[in-house]
Amino acid sequence: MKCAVITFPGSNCDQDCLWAMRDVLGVETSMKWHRDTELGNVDVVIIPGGFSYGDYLRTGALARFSPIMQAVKSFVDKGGKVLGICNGFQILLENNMLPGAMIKNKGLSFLCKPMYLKTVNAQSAFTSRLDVDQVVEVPIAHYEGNYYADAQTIEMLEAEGRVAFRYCDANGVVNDDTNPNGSINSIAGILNKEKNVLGMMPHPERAVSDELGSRDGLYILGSLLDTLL
Amino acid sequence: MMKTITVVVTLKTEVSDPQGLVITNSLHTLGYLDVENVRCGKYIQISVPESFSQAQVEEVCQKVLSNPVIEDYKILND
Repeated sequence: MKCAVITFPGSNCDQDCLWAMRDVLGVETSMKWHRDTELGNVDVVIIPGGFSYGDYLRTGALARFSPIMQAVKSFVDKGGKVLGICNGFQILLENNMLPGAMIKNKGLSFLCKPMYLKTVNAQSAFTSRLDVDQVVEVPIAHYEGNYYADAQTIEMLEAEGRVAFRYCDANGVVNDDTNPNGSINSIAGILNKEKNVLGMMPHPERAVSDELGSRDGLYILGSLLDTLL
Repeated sequence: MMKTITVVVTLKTEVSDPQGLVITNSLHTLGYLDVENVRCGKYIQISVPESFSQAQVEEVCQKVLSNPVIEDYKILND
């Protein structure tokens, strides 16, 4: 399996993604610059977290005009897997590769802490190593992670099994108290219609070893390895 | 010759505005207890050639300056 991680000006989790995929999981991983026009022969593309373009205008809004995104669009259309983490999720939303948008966290604080997620869809290429309702610990670090979409879109996402994760507590309880940022339906990650694109606000690449406090990110990143067997 | 286009971008009314809420509370703390419903937006100016069409202005507003999922825009007249 081969993976590519894209770096935009202002991305700051690209090296973490490289380390998690290449050094922890042993996946051949290449780094792509936002001005590259080709992804190479890869199976998975990761759009990492950070502050691409300084979050200017709107978070993720300007990254979608980078040349590499044309290649990402074609890659997705051919069924390639794309994982957008945090700012990567925001970029996918602004690109309309996933529906909805992110607004500022309800409490207007930058949240940087471990978080529990409840698995909703355990059948996608990104979640096959998880069971439905399984609770995993993956950290969040964001100021604009409050997921919004109109009622029709939310209904569609829920009905089509496209919600991947919800925020919860250690016991898997999903409610307003356990929702850190006000996201509708406590949504922490969603899939596109074809389920080959996942956007999630939490950082699985920061939960891949005991030193980091959790290895639960390996369930998510590791699931990608299975799809090629 | 260039002309200046001024655009105001606002959150759609159905989208919550946490910044606006905090500002409302601050105004209340200052004693302006009757102020309600503060909403924050953006004011953007762009300089374009005179030949820039209305359709092009609208496209710039819809595709870049605003996110139609959560925002409305209004082009201000001079």
